[in-house]
Amino acid sequence: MTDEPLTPDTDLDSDSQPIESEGTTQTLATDERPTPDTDHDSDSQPTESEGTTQILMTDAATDGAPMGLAEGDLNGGWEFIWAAYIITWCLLASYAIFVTVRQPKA
Amino acid sequence: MKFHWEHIVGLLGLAVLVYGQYFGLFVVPPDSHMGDVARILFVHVPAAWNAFFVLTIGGVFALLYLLTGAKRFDHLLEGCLEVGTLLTFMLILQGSIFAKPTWGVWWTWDPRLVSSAVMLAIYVGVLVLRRTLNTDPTVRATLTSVAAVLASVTLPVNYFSVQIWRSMHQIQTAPTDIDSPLKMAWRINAIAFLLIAFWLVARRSRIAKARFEAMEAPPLPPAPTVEAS
Repeated sequence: MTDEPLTPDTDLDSDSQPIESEGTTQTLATDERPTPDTDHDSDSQPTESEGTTQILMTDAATDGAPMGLAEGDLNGGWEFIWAAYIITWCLLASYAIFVTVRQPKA
Repeated sequence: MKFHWEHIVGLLGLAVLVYGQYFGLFVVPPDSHMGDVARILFVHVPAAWNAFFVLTIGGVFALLYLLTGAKRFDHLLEGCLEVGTLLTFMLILQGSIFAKPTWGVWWTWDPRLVSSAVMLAIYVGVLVLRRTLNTDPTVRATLTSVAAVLASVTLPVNYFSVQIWRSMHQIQTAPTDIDSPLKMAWRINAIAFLLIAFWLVARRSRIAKARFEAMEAPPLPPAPTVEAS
């Protein structure tokens, strides 16, 4: 996980240009890029997610976004999905086994 | 193993869960903003709904026990407390996993998150209290019911926390705000969780009943009769 704020190079020649960072691909805009001195700490940056590809959009959807956070799309993140589902199945199955094994003998 | 009627509900719940999980994982299209990560909501939201429902019903059983003294309400209360606590623990884990790709953090001191954690801690405390009370089962049932009624105060606080305080967690969503496939995935999984929770509560209450009966003092033997000589 990278804790650095988003500071893309200045020579971006298109509206969106991918930036590789430890398994995360971010596509940033030239005109609405977050700057290091945004007033929220780096841990709360929505673009740090490991293993996900995120695109920060720069169109009208980002205008007026609070605290410099851009509204964006999340792509990928299946490892999070599988983790949530597997934890759910394991907890339900474990408790189901518990209540079955502990049943009083007839 | 003796067949009980709740097994039908449990099997139905399992079938609906399998279909609901498949539907949520592979059939529903990705969300327009959150993409595939939004699929976590198909287990997170049903777990939350059912945690609230089961713990609310548990509070009703606690009240009914205090009012009537009927043992069956104590047995059902124990089932509701444990299943509701399990679902609360589950929803916090799922929410944390969902928060990482969407908020960028596993945990933050948001009112909804904090009130959920407090709710979990309080209900764990009620379960610990019940477990450690090595006393007359009737006294234990009364004390547990009082504790469960008091713990129920956390339910509305948690539910309305997103409206009372400024929270990053979204407020309650109206069905009209959700597209049909997503709404369908939520409802199928919510029904599956409800049926499974019903089965778990029923099974757990049978254990509670057996333990209650084991803790009850055996009846006194009849007094010896003194025959006149």
